Amino acid sequence: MYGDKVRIAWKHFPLDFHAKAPLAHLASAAANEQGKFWPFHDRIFGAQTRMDKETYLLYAKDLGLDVKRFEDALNTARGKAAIDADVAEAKSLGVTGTPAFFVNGKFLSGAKPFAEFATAINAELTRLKIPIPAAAQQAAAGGAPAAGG
Amino acid sequence: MRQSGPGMGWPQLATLAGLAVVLFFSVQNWNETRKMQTMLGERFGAFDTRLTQIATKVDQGARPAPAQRGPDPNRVYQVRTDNAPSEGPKTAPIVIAEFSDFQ
Repeated sequence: MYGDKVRIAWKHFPLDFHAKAPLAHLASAAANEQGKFWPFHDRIFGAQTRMDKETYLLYAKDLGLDVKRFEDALNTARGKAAIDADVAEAKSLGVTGTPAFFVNGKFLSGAKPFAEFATAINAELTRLKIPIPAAAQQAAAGGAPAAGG
Repeated sequence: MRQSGPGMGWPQLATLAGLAVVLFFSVQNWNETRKMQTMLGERFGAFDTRLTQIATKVDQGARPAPAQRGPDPNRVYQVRTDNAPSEGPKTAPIVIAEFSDFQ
């Protein structure tokens, strides 16, 4: 809907009480090394009952990754520094739960309906004097500020 | 003077006895006060400790509250996204940073 106007950036924020989250984040970071973060991300979310190393190695193989390199990254926790940095940043921003979104730095909390994102995105586009796609105007919740004008 | 002779007269004895009684009672009174003060001091000390404990608990209870509110929705925060796994063009005018976990 927004075409090339939007980029989504993933920030790791494994919650303390999710025991299997750290390994999942390390695995996704290992996949990211080989440019396959999002497909790997989708696999993890697709099967949240299986969150172990064997499963991740299978995903890696399935997605055509260099499995040896992937496993090495996993075993040596190569992505840990980046993950820890994200967690530290989340905490310094005051984020306490997931998911938490920042639309050009503006905070949106929790799993919000798409209309709320559209509203936030449209407000930013308006501020930046970038035309809002017609479909996006309709998607936004009722009171989008002078959307498109 | 005649009255300050070796034998004391009846009025002097009565005065002395009276003084002794007054002295006895004031010493006892003073002792009671001391005891009371000590006891009160202990009680207040205990109260202080309890109050400190309660204040600590209240503080601990209160601290997560502002954290739960999370970031201020009216502020614009700097979020580093340069090295984050991203979907969408690097030049996109809108960047959505998603803090998320896998579980």
